[in-house]
Amino acid sequence: MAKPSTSSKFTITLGLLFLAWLTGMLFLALIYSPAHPEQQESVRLMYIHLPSIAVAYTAFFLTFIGSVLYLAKKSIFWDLVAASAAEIGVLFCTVLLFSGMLWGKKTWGIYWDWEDPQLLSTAVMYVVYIGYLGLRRMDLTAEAISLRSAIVGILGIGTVIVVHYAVKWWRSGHQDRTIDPEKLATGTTEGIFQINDRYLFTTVWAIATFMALGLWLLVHRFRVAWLERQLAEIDVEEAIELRRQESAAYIGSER
Amino acid sequence: MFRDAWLIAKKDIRIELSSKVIFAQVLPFSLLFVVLAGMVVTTDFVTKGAESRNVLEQVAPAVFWIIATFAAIMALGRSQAVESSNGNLDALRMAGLDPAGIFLGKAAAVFIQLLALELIVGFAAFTLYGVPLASVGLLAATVLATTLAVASSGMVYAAVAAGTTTRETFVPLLILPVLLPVLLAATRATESALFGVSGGWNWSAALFLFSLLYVGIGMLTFDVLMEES
Repeated sequence: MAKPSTSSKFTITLGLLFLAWLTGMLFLALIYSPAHPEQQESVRLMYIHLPSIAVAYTAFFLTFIGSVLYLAKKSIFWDLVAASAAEIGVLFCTVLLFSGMLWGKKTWGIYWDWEDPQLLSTAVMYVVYIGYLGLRRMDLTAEAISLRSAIVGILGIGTVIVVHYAVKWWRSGHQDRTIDPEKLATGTTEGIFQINDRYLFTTVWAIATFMALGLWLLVHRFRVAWLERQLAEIDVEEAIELRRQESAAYIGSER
Repeated sequence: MFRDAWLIAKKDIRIELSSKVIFAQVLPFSLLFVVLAGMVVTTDFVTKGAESRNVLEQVAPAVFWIIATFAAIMALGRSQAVESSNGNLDALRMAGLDPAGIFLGKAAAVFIQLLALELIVGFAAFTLYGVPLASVGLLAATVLATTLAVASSGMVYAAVAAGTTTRETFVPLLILPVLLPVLLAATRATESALFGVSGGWNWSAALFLFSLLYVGIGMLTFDVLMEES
């Protein structure tokens, strides 16, 4: 019998692919990418910072989708997708905040800028999803947890939208969106990529790498959650079976 | 629906009038907090004199709304606690009450209790902290809009955590991030009302829109939230 595992051909391939991409990313971020004229060496932190927000956004969006589909179809699959994605999102949001703080210390001279709406709204988003994870561990029935966290998962997307548009809505010192689709479409590469395209190439590579990692973690986390749910059901069935045997034995002894 | 809301609100207010949890516990706590915050902020009063008093005046709106938030969390906790014993929420549903009505009624009761509390605490805080008052109308509008926002959004998240044993510690974790924009807007609007800075009405309007949004969310979701508990 094979060793019990949440791996499959898909995850093993994805994991190996990630390791290969990570090797490439280390080369790109540390050697290929030049230091930035303004940010100097701390631009390399961006290759962690930007991919983290990409994964966190995607994960929280998945939580939203999963929550909607759970409410619509009452499907346990989507409920567990939402729960697993929220965990991945919080994980990468942690990386995002810490890399951002280190970058801020190097570039602005402070860890935390109280006048930066994007930073503050990200912190709020982070706490909202930590609350979501707390809710998943409440002492309620599985259905109640799924229902309530679906509502929080749907409302939580509001904070993601605020974070995304914070720079546009409140002009601030936070960097403009680094990869602006409008700028890319018109071929102007102002801002961070003004000097050369090496920053852009490295960033895109890093995003692909982090996405692979996020997906790999998500699949494994989902499978663990799925097994946990099944285990809980088996436990209930076993308990019922045990009571049946007890009562059968009791009735037998009466005769 | 509105009849159900009225019944629920009346029930909660009656419970408060006889038990006096908000009036005899949360209110004294909030007043104590007003005095403590004033003392802590002005610890350097002896050495710095009037300058320290200026700081107190400047932070007065923020301090007031932080205290009001604490009081709101307690009031929301109390509002859930009166339903949690003996499966009362299920009983309300089985009595044929509309979930949206239950939400409106419970939020309205919290709104009324908080408003009464804020009137007393606000009067004490702004008198003790010695702040000017530029616009009574704006201050009244701000307090009304903020309290509505706190009561409506808070009731949604209090219901999310209803029926759990760690409710008291978990509800603040859920509510505080949601209340953050409310706190910011309320503080700015109150600053504007007290010191005569412009822009207060915009903040007030934003608060009102926020509360309308959450009244809608609460009416839509209370059905689902009460389904399993």
